[in-house]
Amino acid sequence: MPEHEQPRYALRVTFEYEGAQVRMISRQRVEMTSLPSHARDGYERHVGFWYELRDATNKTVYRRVIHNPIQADYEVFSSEGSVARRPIANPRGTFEIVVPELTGAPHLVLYGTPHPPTVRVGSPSAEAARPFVPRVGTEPAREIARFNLLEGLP
Amino acid sequence: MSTFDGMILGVTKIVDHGRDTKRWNLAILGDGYQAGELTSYAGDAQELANCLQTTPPFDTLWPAINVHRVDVSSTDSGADDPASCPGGSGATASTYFDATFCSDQQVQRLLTVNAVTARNVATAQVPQVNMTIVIVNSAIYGGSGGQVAVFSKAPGADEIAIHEMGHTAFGLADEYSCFAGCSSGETGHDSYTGGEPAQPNVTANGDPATIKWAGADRGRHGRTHHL
Repeated sequence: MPEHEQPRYALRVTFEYEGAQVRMISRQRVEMTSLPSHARDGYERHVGFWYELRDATNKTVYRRVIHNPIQADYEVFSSEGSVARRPIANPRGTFEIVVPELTGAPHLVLYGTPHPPTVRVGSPSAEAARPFVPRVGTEPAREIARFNLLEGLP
Repeated sequence: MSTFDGMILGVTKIVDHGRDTKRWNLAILGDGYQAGELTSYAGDAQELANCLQTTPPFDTLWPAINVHRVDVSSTDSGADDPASCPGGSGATASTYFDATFCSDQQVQRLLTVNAVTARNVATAQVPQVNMTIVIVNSAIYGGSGGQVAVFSKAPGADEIAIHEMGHTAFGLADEYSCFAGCSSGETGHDSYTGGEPAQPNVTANGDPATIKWAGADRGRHGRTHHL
Protein backbone atom coordinates (compact mmCIF):
# COMPACT_ATOMS: atom_id res chain seq x y z
CA MET A 1 0.00 0.00 0.00
CA PRO A 2 1.50 3.38 -0.89
CA GLU A 3 2.65 5.17 2.23
CA HIS A 4 0.34 8.13 1.65
CA GLU A 5 -2.76 6.01 1.15
CA GLN A 6 -4.61 4.98 4.30
CA PRO A 7 -8.01 3.76 3.19
CA ARG A 8 -10.95 4.51 5.40
CA TYR A 9 -12.55 1.16 4.71
CA ALA A 10 -11.38 -2.40 4.82
CA LEU A 11 -12.81 -5.73 3.77
CA ARG A 12 -13.20 -8.51 6.27
CA VAL A 13 -12.90 -11.63 4.14
CA THR A 14 -13.89 -15.01 5.52
CA PHE A 15 -12.70 -18.33 4.13
CA GLU A 16 -13.58 -21.93 4.65
CA TYR A 17 -10.94 -24.62 4.25
CA GLU A 18 -10.82 -28.36 4.14
CA GLY A 19 -7.38 -29.85 3.73
CA ALA A 20 -5.61 -27.58 1.28
CA GLN A 21 -8.80 -26.37 -0.41
CA VAL A 22 -9.75 -22.78 0.43
CA ARG A 23 -13.05 -21.15 -0.47
CA MET A 24 -14.09 -17.53 0.11
CA ILE A 25 -17.46 -17.48 1.84
CA SER A 26 -18.03 -13.81 2.68
CA ARG A 27 -16.79 -10.24 2.31
CA GLN A 28 -17.84 -7.49 4.64
CA ARG A 29 -16.98 -3.82 4.14
CA VAL A 30 -16.00 -2.23 7.45
CA GLU A 31 -14.83 1.23 8.38
CA MET A 32 -11.57 0.34 10.07
CA THR A 33 -7.84 0.79 9.84
CA SER A 34 -5.90 -1.97 8.15
CA LEU A 35 -2.47 -2.95 9.34
CA PRO A 36 0.35 -1.60 7.17
CA SER A 37 1.75 -3.64 4.33
CA HIS A 38 4.77 -5.81 4.83
CA ALA A 39 7.60 -5.75 2.29
CA ARG A 40 6.31 -6.03 -1.26
CA ASP A 41 9.55 -7.32 -2.70
CA GLY A 42 12.51 -9.42 -1.62
CA TYR A 43 10.49 -12.34 -0.31
CA GLU A 44 10.99 -14.79 -3.14
CA ARG A 45 11.15 -18.38 -1.84
CA HIS A 46 10.18 -17.33 1.66
CA VAL A 47 8.45 -19.88 3.86
CA GLY A 48 5.19 -19.12 5.67
CA PHE A 49 1.77 -17.70 4.96
CA TRP A 50 0.75 -14.32 3.62
CA TYR A 51 -1.85 -12.63 1.47
CA GLU A 52 -1.45 -10.05 -1.25
CA LEU A 53 -3.61 -7.55 -3.03
CA ARG A 54 -2.74 -7.26 -6.71
CA ASP A 55 -3.69 -4.61 -9.21
CA ALA A 56 -4.89 -5.17 -12.76
CA THR A 57 -1.30 -5.63 -13.95
CA ASN A 58 -0.73 -8.29 -11.28
CA LYS A 59 1.57 -6.00 -9.30
CA THR A 60 1.51 -6.53 -5.53
CA VAL A 61 0.29 -3.37 -3.83
CA TYR A 62 -0.31 -4.80 -0.36
CA ARG A 63 1.09 -7.82 1.44
CA ARG A 64 0.59 -9.07 4.95
CA VAL A 65 2.37 -11.99 6.62
CA ILE A 66 0.21 -13.86 9.11
CA HIS A 67 0.40 -16.96 11.22
CA ASN A 68 -0.84 -19.84 9.09
CA PRO A 69 -4.60 -19.88 9.73
CA ILE A 70 -5.04 -23.31 8.16
CA GLN A 71 -4.64 -25.32 11.30
CA ALA A 72 -2.94 -28.69 10.95
CA ASP A 73 -2.57 -29.08 14.68
CA TYR A 74 -3.68 -27.74 18.03
CA GLU A 75 -1.29 -25.96 20.30
CA VAL A 76 -1.64 -27.54 23.72
CA PHE A 77 -0.25 -25.54 26.60
CA SER A 78 0.88 -26.78 29.98
CA SER A 79 0.74 -24.88 33.24
CA GLU A 80 4.56 -25.06 33.36
CA GLY A 81 4.72 -22.93 30.25
CA SER A 82 5.62 -25.55 27.66
CA VAL A 83 3.71 -25.98 24.42
CA ALA A 84 3.15 -29.12 22.41
CA ARG A 85 1.24 -29.74 19.22
CA ARG A 86 -1.46 -32.29 18.63
CA PRO A 87 -2.16 -33.09 15.00
CA ILE A 88 -5.68 -32.53 13.67
CA ALA A 89 -6.85 -35.61 11.81
CA ASN A 90 -8.92 -33.81 9.16
CA PRO A 91 -8.02 -30.13 9.04
CA ARG A 92 -11.12 -28.07 8.29
CA GLY A 93 -12.44 -24.78 9.54
CA THR A 94 -12.77 -21.12 8.76
CA PHE A 95 -10.55 -18.10 9.05
CA GLU A 96 -10.76 -14.44 8.24
CA ILE A 97 -8.41 -11.69 7.17
CA VAL A 98 -8.76 -7.93 6.90
CA VAL A 99 -7.51 -6.20 3.77
CA PRO A 100 -7.55 -2.49 2.97
CA GLU A 101 -10.10 -1.40 0.41
CA LEU A 102 -7.76 -0.24 -2.31
CA THR A 103 -9.06 1.15 -5.55
CA GLY A 104 -7.68 -0.77 -8.46
CA ALA A 105 -6.46 -3.75 -6.46
CA PRO A 106 -9.26 -6.28 -6.73
CA HIS A 107 -7.21 -9.46 -6.73
CA LEU A 108 -6.59 -11.24 -3.45
CA VAL A 109 -3.97 -13.97 -3.51
CA LEU A 110 -3.18 -16.33 -0.66
CA TYR A 111 0.28 -17.86 -0.35
CA GLY A 112 1.19 -20.67 1.95
CA THR A 113 3.83 -23.25 2.65
CA PRO A 114 2.24 -26.68 2.59
CA HIS A 115 2.02 -28.52 5.87
CA PRO A 116 4.16 -31.67 5.87
CA PRO A 117 2.39 -35.00 6.29
CA THR A 118 1.27 -35.50 9.86
CA VAL A 119 3.60 -37.73 11.84
CA ARG A 120 2.41 -38.58 15.30
CA VAL A 121 5.10 -38.50 17.93
CA GLY A 122 5.55 -41.92 19.41
CA SER A 123 7.55 -43.19 22.33
CA PRO A 124 11.08 -41.83 22.84
CA SER A 125 12.56 -45.04 21.48
CA ALA A 126 10.30 -44.92 18.43
CA GLU A 127 11.25 -41.33 17.89
CA ALA A 128 14.93 -42.11 18.07
CA ALA A 129 14.48 -44.77 15.42
CA ARG A 130 12.34 -42.65 13.12
CA PRO A 131 13.96 -41.15 10.02
CA PHE A 132 14.09 -37.37 10.17
CA VAL A 133 11.26 -35.52 8.50
CA PRO A 134 10.42 -31.90 9.24
CA ARG A 135 7.30 -31.38 11.34
CA VAL A 136 6.74 -27.89 10.04
CA GLY A 137 6.58 -26.80 6.44
CA THR A 138 9.96 -25.82 5.03
CA GLU A 139 9.15 -25.33 1.34
CA PRO A 140 8.79 -21.92 -0.25
CA ALA A 141 5.23 -20.64 -0.03
CA ARG A 142 3.17 -21.11 -3.16
CA GLU A 143 -0.07 -19.63 -4.37
CA ILE A 144 -2.90 -21.59 -2.82
CA ALA A 145 -5.90 -19.52 -3.85
CA ARG A 146 -6.81 -16.41 -5.80
CA PHE A 147 -10.02 -14.42 -5.65
CA ASN A 148 -11.50 -11.39 -7.36
CA LEU A 149 -12.90 -9.24 -4.56
CA LEU A 150 -15.25 -7.48 -6.98
CA GLU A 151 -16.78 -10.66 -8.31
CA GLY A 152 -20.38 -11.17 -7.30
CA LEU A 153 -20.78 -7.67 -5.91
CA PRO A 154 -23.68 -5.54 -7.16
CA MET B 1 -25.18 -27.15 23.82
CA SER B 2 -25.31 -24.15 21.58
CA THR B 3 -26.39 -20.53 21.31
CA PHE B 4 -29.73 -21.66 22.76
CA ASP B 5 -27.84 -22.12 26.02
CA GLY B 6 -27.45 -18.49 26.88
CA MET B 7 -27.72 -15.00 25.51
CA ILE B 8 -25.70 -11.99 24.43
CA LEU B 9 -26.24 -9.14 26.86
CA GLY B 10 -24.11 -6.39 25.37
CA VAL B 11 -20.63 -4.98 25.01
CA THR B 12 -18.53 -2.62 27.13
CA LYS B 13 -15.33 -0.95 26.02
CA ILE B 14 -13.04 -1.53 28.99
CA VAL B 15 -9.95 0.03 27.44
CA ASP B 16 -10.71 3.09 25.35
CA HIS B 17 -7.92 4.79 23.48
CA GLY B 18 -10.11 6.37 20.84
CA ARG B 19 -12.37 5.54 17.94
CA ASP B 20 -12.51 1.87 17.06
CA THR B 21 -12.00 2.74 13.41
CA LYS B 22 -8.51 3.98 14.26
CA ARG B 23 -7.42 1.37 16.78
CA TRP B 24 -6.52 -2.32 17.00
CA ASN B 25 -9.51 -3.92 18.68
CA LEU B 26 -9.50 -6.91 20.96
CA ALA B 27 -12.84 -8.55 21.80
CA ILE B 28 -13.02 -10.61 24.98
CA LEU B 29 -15.88 -13.08 25.28
CA GLY B 30 -16.80 -15.30 28.20
CA ASP B 31 -18.21 -18.81 28.17
CA GLY B 32 -19.69 -20.86 30.97
CA TYR B 33 -20.60 -17.82 33.05
CA GLN B 34 -24.17 -17.84 34.29
CA ALA B 35 -25.95 -14.50 34.49
CA GLY B 36 -25.14 -14.27 38.18
CA GLU B 37 -21.43 -14.78 37.45
CA LEU B 38 -21.01 -11.92 35.01
CA THR B 39 -19.52 -9.65 37.65
CA SER B 40 -16.82 -12.25 38.10
CA TYR B 41 -16.41 -12.35 34.32
CA ALA B 42 -15.99 -8.59 34.19
CA GLY B 43 -13.19 -8.95 36.72
CA ASP B 44 -11.54 -11.70 34.69
CA ALA B 45 -11.69 -9.61 31.51
CA GLN B 46 -10.24 -6.61 33.29
CA GLU B 47 -7.47 -8.78 34.72
CA LEU B 48 -6.54 -9.88 31.20
CA ALA B 49 -6.51 -6.27 30.02
CA ASN B 50 -4.30 -5.30 32.95
CA CYS B 51 -1.97 -8.19 32.17
CA LEU B 52 -1.64 -7.09 28.54
CA GLN B 53 -0.99 -3.52 29.57
CA THR B 54 2.13 -4.55 31.45
CA THR B 55 3.39 -7.20 29.04
CA PRO B 56 5.87 -6.31 26.28
CA PRO B 57 5.27 -5.46 23.50
CA PHE B 58 1.65 -4.59 24.36
CA ASP B 59 2.81 -2.11 26.97
CA THR B 60 4.44 0.20 24.47
CA LEU B 61 1.67 -0.31 21.93
CA TRP B 62 -1.07 0.14 24.50
CA PRO B 63 -2.33 3.50 23.21
CA ALA B 64 -3.14 1.83 19.87
CA ILE B 65 -5.32 -0.86 21.44
CA ASN B 66 -8.97 -0.86 22.47
CA VAL B 67 -10.38 -3.73 24.50
CA HIS B 68 -14.04 -4.68 24.43
CA ARG B 69 -15.78 -6.99 26.86
CA VAL B 70 -18.73 -8.80 25.35
CA ASP B 71 -21.13 -10.06 28.00
CA VAL B 72 -22.62 -13.45 27.21
CA SER B 73 -24.47 -15.54 29.76
CA SER B 74 -24.67 -19.32 29.65
CA THR B 75 -27.26 -21.71 31.01
CA ASP B 76 -24.66 -23.60 33.03
CA SER B 77 -21.44 -22.70 34.72
CA GLY B 78 -18.13 -24.20 33.55
CA ALA B 79 -17.33 -26.38 30.57
CA ASP B 80 -17.64 -29.96 29.39
CA ASP B 81 -14.93 -32.19 30.85
CA PRO B 82 -15.44 -35.64 29.31
CA ALA B 83 -14.86 -38.63 31.59
CA SER B 84 -13.50 -40.55 28.61
CA CYS B 85 -10.44 -38.32 28.73
CA PRO B 86 -7.60 -39.02 31.19
CA GLY B 87 -8.28 -36.78 34.17
CA GLY B 88 -11.73 -35.82 32.99
CA SER B 89 -14.43 -35.39 35.64
CA GLY B 90 -17.38 -36.17 33.40
CA ALA B 91 -18.90 -32.74 33.98
CA THR B 92 -21.19 -31.38 31.32
CA ALA B 93 -22.24 -27.76 30.95
CA SER B 94 -24.67 -26.17 28.53
CA THR B 95 -22.83 -23.05 27.42
CA TYR B 96 -23.20 -20.49 24.65
CA PHE B 97 -19.91 -21.24 22.90
CA ASP B 98 -19.86 -24.93 23.84
CA ALA B 99 -16.55 -24.88 25.71
CA THR B 100 -15.04 -28.35 25.97
CA PHE B 101 -11.91 -29.75 27.53
CA CYS B 102 -10.20 -32.67 25.83
CA SER B 103 -11.28 -31.67 22.35
CA ASP B 104 -9.07 -34.29 20.77
CA GLN B 105 -10.36 -36.98 23.17
CA GLN B 106 -6.83 -37.39 24.50
CA VAL B 107 -5.52 -34.32 26.30
CA GLN B 108 -7.69 -32.73 28.95
CA ARG B 109 -6.04 -29.32 28.82
CA LEU B 110 -6.97 -28.90 25.15
CA LEU B 111 -9.88 -26.55 25.75
CA THR B 112 -11.78 -25.27 22.72
CA VAL B 113 -15.01 -23.46 21.89
CA ASN B 114 -17.13 -23.14 18.78
CA ALA B 115 -14.79 -20.70 17.03
CA VAL B 116 -17.24 -19.80 14.28
CA THR B 117 -19.88 -18.73 16.79
CA ALA B 118 -17.30 -16.82 18.82
CA ARG B 119 -16.03 -14.94 15.80
CA ASN B 120 -19.55 -14.18 14.58
CA VAL B 121 -20.54 -12.77 17.97
CA ALA B 122 -17.34 -10.74 18.19
CA THR B 123 -17.82 -9.29 14.72
CA ALA B 124 -21.46 -8.43 15.39
CA GLN B 125 -20.68 -6.72 18.70
CA VAL B 126 -17.37 -5.13 17.71
CA PRO B 127 -17.40 -4.58 13.93
CA GLN B 128 -13.75 -3.46 13.91
CA VAL B 129 -12.55 -6.48 15.87
CA ASN B 130 -9.01 -7.64 15.08
CA MET B 131 -8.81 -10.52 17.50
CA THR B 132 -11.17 -12.58 19.63
CA ILE B 133 -10.32 -14.20 22.94
CA VAL B 134 -12.65 -16.41 24.98
CA ILE B 135 -12.27 -16.81 28.74
CA VAL B 136 -13.84 -20.04 29.96
CA ASN B 137 -15.21 -20.06 33.48
CA SER B 138 -13.34 -23.07 34.82
CA ALA B 139 -10.55 -23.54 37.34
CA ILE B 140 -9.15 -26.45 35.31
CA TYR B 141 -6.07 -25.46 33.34
CA GLY B 142 -6.70 -25.36 29.63
CA GLY B 143 -6.72 -23.44 26.43
CA SER B 144 -6.01 -23.51 22.72
CA GLY B 145 -4.77 -21.35 19.92
CA GLY B 146 -5.95 -20.42 16.49
CA GLN B 147 -7.77 -17.37 15.21
CA VAL B 148 -9.93 -17.51 18.34
CA ALA B 149 -7.79 -17.97 21.44
CA VAL B 150 -9.30 -19.78 24.41
CA PHE B 151 -8.12 -20.03 28.00
CA SER B 152 -9.53 -20.96 31.38
CA LYS B 153 -9.31 -19.16 34.71
CA ALA B 154 -6.59 -21.44 36.05
CA PRO B 155 -3.44 -19.65 37.19
CA GLY B 156 -1.12 -19.03 34.27
CA ALA B 157 -3.66 -19.81 31.59
CA ASP B 158 -3.74 -16.17 30.52
CA GLU B 159 -0.28 -16.77 29.05
CA ILE B 160 -2.13 -18.60 26.30
CA ALA B 161 -3.91 -15.39 25.33
CA ILE B 162 -0.64 -13.48 25.22
CA HIS B 163 0.99 -16.20 23.15
CA GLU B 164 -1.85 -16.19 20.63
CA MET B 165 -1.87 -12.42 20.40
CA GLY B 166 1.76 -12.64 19.35
CA HIS B 167 0.61 -14.66 16.36
CA THR B 168 -2.47 -12.65 15.52
CA ALA B 169 -1.42 -9.11 16.31
CA PHE B 170 2.17 -9.30 15.14
CA GLY B 171 2.37 -12.34 12.88
CA LEU B 172 5.11 -13.82 15.06
CA ALA B 173 6.24 -17.41 14.66
CA ASP B 174 6.46 -19.88 17.50
CA GLU B 175 9.78 -20.15 19.27
CA TYR B 176 9.32 -23.61 20.72
CA SER B 177 12.25 -25.69 21.82
CA CYS B 178 10.36 -28.81 20.77
CA PHE B 179 7.38 -29.58 18.58
CA ALA B 180 5.47 -32.25 20.44
CA GLY B 181 6.77 -31.51 23.91
CA CYS B 182 10.32 -31.86 25.15
CA SER B 183 9.57 -35.10 26.99
CA SER B 184 8.31 -36.75 23.82
CA GLY B 185 11.71 -37.89 22.67
CA GLU B 186 11.18 -36.29 19.31
CA THR B 187 14.09 -35.87 16.96
CA GLY B 188 14.93 -33.23 14.40
CA HIS B 189 13.53 -30.36 16.43
CA ASP B 190 16.89 -28.63 16.62
CA SER B 191 17.70 -28.33 12.95
CA TYR B 192 16.16 -26.48 10.02
CA THR B 193 16.98 -26.79 6.37
CA GLY B 194 14.23 -24.79 4.67
CA GLY B 195 14.09 -21.32 3.18
CA GLU B 196 13.88 -18.02 5.01
CA PRO B 197 10.73 -17.81 7.15
CA ALA B 198 8.46 -14.88 6.36
CA GLN B 199 7.75 -14.11 10.02
CA PRO B 200 9.76 -11.28 11.54
CA ASN B 201 11.07 -13.09 14.63
CA VAL B 202 12.69 -16.18 13.14
CA THR B 203 15.32 -16.62 10.50
CA ALA B 204 17.48 -19.21 8.82
CA ASN B 205 20.30 -16.69 8.65
CA GLY B 206 22.90 -17.22 11.36
CA ASP B 207 24.95 -14.15 10.51
CA PRO B 208 24.30 -11.40 13.07
CA ALA B 209 25.53 -8.78 10.64
CA THR B 210 22.90 -9.50 8.02
CA ILE B 211 20.12 -10.99 10.11
CA LYS B 212 16.79 -9.32 9.40
CA TRP B 213 16.53 -7.71 12.80
CA ALA B 214 20.14 -6.52 12.79
CA GLY B 215 20.30 -3.20 14.56
CA ALA B 216 16.79 -3.48 15.93
CA ASP B 217 16.26 -3.03 19.64
CA ARG B 218 14.48 -6.23 20.56
CA GLY B 219 15.66 -6.25 24.13
CA ARG B 220 12.33 -5.23 25.56
CA HIS B 221 10.12 -6.79 22.96
CA GLY B 222 11.03 -10.39 22.84
CA ARG B 223 13.67 -12.96 22.42
CA THR B 224 15.78 -13.17 19.33
CA HIS B 225 16.05 -16.67 17.98
CA HIS B 226 16.88 -18.35 14.78
CA LEU B 227 15.49 -21.72 13.87
